[in-house]
Amino acid sequence: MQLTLPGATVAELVTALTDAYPDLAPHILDDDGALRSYVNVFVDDTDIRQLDGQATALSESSTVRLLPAIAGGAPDDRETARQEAR
Amino acid sequence: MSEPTASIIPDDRVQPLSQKEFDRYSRNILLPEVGVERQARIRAAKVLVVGAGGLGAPIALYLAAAGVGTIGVVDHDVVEESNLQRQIIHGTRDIGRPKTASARDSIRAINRGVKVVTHQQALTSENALDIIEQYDVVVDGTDNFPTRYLLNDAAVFLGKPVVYGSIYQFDGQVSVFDARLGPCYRCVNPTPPPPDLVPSCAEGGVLGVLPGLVGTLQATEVLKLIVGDAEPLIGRLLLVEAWSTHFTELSISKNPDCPVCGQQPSITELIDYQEFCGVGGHDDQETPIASITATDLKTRLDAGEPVQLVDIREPHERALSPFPAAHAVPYGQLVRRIDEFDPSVDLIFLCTIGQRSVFAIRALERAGYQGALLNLKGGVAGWNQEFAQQKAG
Ligand SMILES: [Zn+2]
Repeated sequence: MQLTLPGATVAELVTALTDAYPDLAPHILDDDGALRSYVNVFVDDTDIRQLDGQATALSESSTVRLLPAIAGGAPDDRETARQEAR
Repeated sequence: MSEPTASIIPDDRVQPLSQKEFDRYSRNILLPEVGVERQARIRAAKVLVVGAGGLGAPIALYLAAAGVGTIGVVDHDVVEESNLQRQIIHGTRDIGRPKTASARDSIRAINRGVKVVTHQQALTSENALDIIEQYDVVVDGTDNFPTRYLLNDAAVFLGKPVVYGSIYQFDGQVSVFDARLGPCYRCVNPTPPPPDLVPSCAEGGVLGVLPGLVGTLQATEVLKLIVGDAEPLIGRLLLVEAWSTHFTELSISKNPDCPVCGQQPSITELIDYQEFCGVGGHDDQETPIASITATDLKTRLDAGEPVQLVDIREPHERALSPFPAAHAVPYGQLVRRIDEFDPSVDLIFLCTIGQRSVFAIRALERAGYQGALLNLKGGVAGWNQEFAQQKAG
C-alpha cells in the first residue's frame, strides 16, 4: 500500500499515518507510542538507524517504507497446529 | 554498494576437476569469472540448506546442478499434499515421506556427483553448532522466527555467512548476513514480532512461484560466495514484490550495539529461541484459550441457544468459503468495533483454520472485553469438513 502523508520527520509522518489509520497503531507503536522495535523504517531505501532514527528529516519527495519482519520460507502446517494448541 | 569478497573455500581443499566434470560444467567454466579453478571450488564447497520447503527446493536443486560437492539438508517434516504447489523438490509420490529423503532423491537424480547429507531433525540450540560447523555457508530456508534467530546466532559464533531469504504472500526478502563483513540478522531485526502478529503462510497464503524467485536469488548468492570476487548482497536487503514486479534494494548496516555481533555482545552462547520469540508454553499467566468444536457449535445452533458468531476473515476469504450465519468483522477492526459485541452472550470467533481466532481472543482480552470468548476449533475449514453436505446456512 502506498500513501502520501505530511511530515517533516519520520516521527511526524508516523503520527500522521496512525491518525489516518488508527487500526494500524497497535501494530507499529508500543503502549508508549514509540515505534515497535520489529518495524524497520527506511527513508529513500536507507535504514533510519544509519540516519537520524525517527528524527530523520524528510523532504517533499522522500519515500518512507515501513517494513515488518517476515518469517515465511517453508510453511509448515503443523507448526500452525502447534501454535493453535498453545 | 558491496565490495567483492574472497572465496569462502580454503585453497587447500580445492582439487582438480576430472575430464567428465570439465564437460558437465563447461557452461560455468566458459565464464571468465568462474573458469576451471573456481568450478573446482564449487565442487569443494559444503553448503547447508536449512528447510527443504519452498525456498530450500530451488536452492538445493540449482546448487546440485551447479556442482556443489556437498549439500546438507535439515528438515524434520514429511511431505504433505499442500506443499507441492511450491516445493518442487518433492513430487506427488513423495507425500508422507520425510522431506530430507525426498530432497536427497531429487538432488541425486540431477547430479550423482553430489554428496547429500540428510539431517532429518529440527535445528535446535543443542545440535545447531555441531551441524553448522561442518559447512562453509548456511542457506536460510526456514519458516519461523525461532529457527532464524538460532541460525543467525550459531553462524555468527562460528564465523559463517548466512544467505537469508523469506517470503510471505507476494513479497520476498533476500540478503547475505556475514557478521565479519556486515550486519547480521539481529542487527536489522533486534527483536521478533510477538507471535500473535505473525501470520504464517499456512494462514496467509503464498504465491507458489515466489519461493522459486527468492530461492534462486539465494542460490546465486551462495555460488558468488563460493566463487569469490563477486559482489554479494552484504549490507543490502533486496525486496522482491511480485504483484507489482518491483525489486528494491535497501541499505542495511551493522548495529554496534547488536547483542551477538556488536562491540559488547550480551549473547555469547545459544539461548532458548522459543522463549525469546514468545512461542511455546512459557507464559503461564495467560489464561488458556477456550474452544468449541464444530459438532458442539452445531448442537448449540440447532437448539437455538443464543451465541454471537463473528467471522474475522477478510472479504476474499469469506467469498471462498462463506459462512453467512456469522457477523463479519475483519480481524483488523475487532478492537475498534468492540462495542458491537454483547458481553452477556458467548462470542465465538470463526477464521480459516482456527489460528487467527486465538489471536482475536487475545486482542479482545487485552482491550478489556469482559464476556466469554471462544475459538471455533479448526475454523471454517474444520466446520466444512465435518458438515460437508450441509454447509453453514
Ligand atoms: Zn549483529
